[in-house]
Amino acid sequence: MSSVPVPNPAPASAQPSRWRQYYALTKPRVVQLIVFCAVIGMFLAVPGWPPLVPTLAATAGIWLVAAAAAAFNCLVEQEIDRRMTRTAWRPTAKGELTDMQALLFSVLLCGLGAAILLVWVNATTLWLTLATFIGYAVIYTLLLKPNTPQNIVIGGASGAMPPVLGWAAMTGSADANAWLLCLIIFLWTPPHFWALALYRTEDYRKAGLPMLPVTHGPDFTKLHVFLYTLVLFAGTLLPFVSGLSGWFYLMSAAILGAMFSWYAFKLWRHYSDELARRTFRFSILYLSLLFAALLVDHYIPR
Amino acid sequence: MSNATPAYDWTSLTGLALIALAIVSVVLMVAWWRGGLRHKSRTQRVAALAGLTLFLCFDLVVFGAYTRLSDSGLGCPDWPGCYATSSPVAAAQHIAHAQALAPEGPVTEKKAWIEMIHRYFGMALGTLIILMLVAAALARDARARTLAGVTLVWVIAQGVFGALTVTWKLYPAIVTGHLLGGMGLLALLALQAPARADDTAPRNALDCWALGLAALALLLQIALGGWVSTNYAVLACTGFPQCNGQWWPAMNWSEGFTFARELGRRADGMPIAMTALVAIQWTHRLFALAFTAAMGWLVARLWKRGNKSRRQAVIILGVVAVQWATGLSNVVLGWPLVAALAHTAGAAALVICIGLEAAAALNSRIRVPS
Repeated sequence: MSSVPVPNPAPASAQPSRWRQYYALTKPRVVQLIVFCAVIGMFLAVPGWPPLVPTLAATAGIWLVAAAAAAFNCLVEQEIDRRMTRTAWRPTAKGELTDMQALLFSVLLCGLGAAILLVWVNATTLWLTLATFIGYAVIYTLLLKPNTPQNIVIGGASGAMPPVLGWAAMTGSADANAWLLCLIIFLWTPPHFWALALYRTEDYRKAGLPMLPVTHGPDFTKLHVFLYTLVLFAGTLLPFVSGLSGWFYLMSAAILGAMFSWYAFKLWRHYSDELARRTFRFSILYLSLLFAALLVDHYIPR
Repeated sequence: MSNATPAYDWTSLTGLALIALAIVSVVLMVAWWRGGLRHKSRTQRVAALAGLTLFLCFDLVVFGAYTRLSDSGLGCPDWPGCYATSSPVAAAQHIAHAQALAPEGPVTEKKAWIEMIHRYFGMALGTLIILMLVAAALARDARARTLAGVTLVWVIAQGVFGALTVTWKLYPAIVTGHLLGGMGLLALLALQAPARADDTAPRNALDCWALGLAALALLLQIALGGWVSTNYAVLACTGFPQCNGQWWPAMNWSEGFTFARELGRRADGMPIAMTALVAIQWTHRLFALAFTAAMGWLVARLWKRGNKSRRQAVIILGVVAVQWATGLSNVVLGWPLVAALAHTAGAAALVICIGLEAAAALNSRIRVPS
């Protein structure tokens, strides 16, 4: 699109849009949800309010490394992005940013984030965060995604790490409760992603990615979305069982879980693209509200 | 002293990273100057980087064997730095103190240097593999990407094994695992190195079976050899071909091949029996016969396929002969350092030969459109 040289009448106004291009590379909305889950992990890790400096530093560090992983993903997947309507607008896919620019941007963000985590947080958080980076940018993006329909199930493990990162940032280690939060996001990822894949099947087919609806058909996928929401429902009850959270959380998890399962059930029995889109949107709201409930519950005196 | 040193201390991380980067810069500059990286397509550049990394990895495997054979594995008692510093220079006081307490080691100045040089080059290798992955990600070549991704994950696991080697105090199963990890890395890098253009004739099923069997035999024999070395069982059998004057010596297999135990100990903590070490040594020697047969079949297949692969056949046959000579020297001459190092280097060379042959076999099946 930008291959034809066009005389630029206002070079001064090109500057902010370049920043916006770089910003778009970091997948801001996905990264926001990731950082949100990490921050919740920080709050839940300690009684009362977490200390200010490590909290801010860990938030910044995790945000930067997550953004770097997103930018690296854009760099690697530009061919695929170009073939999918959902992602064709990305600056790397349109060729607005060169490979070198995207690469250096990713390296810079990752280095900066790692340095912040090492200096102001702790080494455990640094290693866990870098492991998550490798898990997303290398194991998921390069190895799993183009090779297996279970890509997002296994790769979901790296997306599920943020609460553990937050927890480690506060305590220097991750206890069983942190891994419970990780488990919840891990179980949430397949129904979330497959709801999207169901109404974007053609996109994925064109891009040549072996997503579940492409390889095993929509019916199989819908059933699995529904089954995963049931397993997720059970998983979200565990924080109450372990004593991490109380009644407020339990009620919230039950209501949210019932709604998500109901969406998935309807999707299974009476499929429409519109319903799949609504299910996908609800899944994001679901996770945000569930973690918000964890946070609120943490500060309700018991 | 070593009790007071925490096993993991990250304060030296920045210094170590700078040393590794310095090594990588020098290696890349030399490669650039020699023209190995210039004027190449992106896919060719990945292969060139893999070739460079393969060369460094071979050296590192041999140097790793030297680290082990010179008993330098615990030359620095902590990880990743040496007494929480980035070099034995900065840790000189700690090392001198430890050396004064125990002049024979495990910590001496020389051993600390050997151990740290191994770690420096290990980190440089990891950095080169990260660069290789980035180059592969830019190259848009599905096979190159997958292999580079697997290699990065592999080298990280190898780093973890290296750390455990130190902090678990030379636990034999971990040290053997670290050796096998290094050999696996060689094979992975050989698969990605610049392809031999001269031998693209398609392989038939029998060729593939011979190659697969040879690879399996090599893996087993290296594992057994590593087990001999990490258990210090080289001198358990004197004499050749007999063991301590017998064709079938008294052996305790179950004790020798119990993996969850510390160095020189049984699983219950008692000192290990000599018969267990004899079992370890004798198994490596016996399997050498099966190994040689498997290699012989591969060499025969390569020879039969024609002129182009006869050079490969001769090289493999030669290295197998060297392995017999160096292995025998280890036993007869009482474990001289040179023979032990050459035995490891020979094994590494065979891994590379098999890896390159596997790469050629893959290339002959997957036609890459030019």
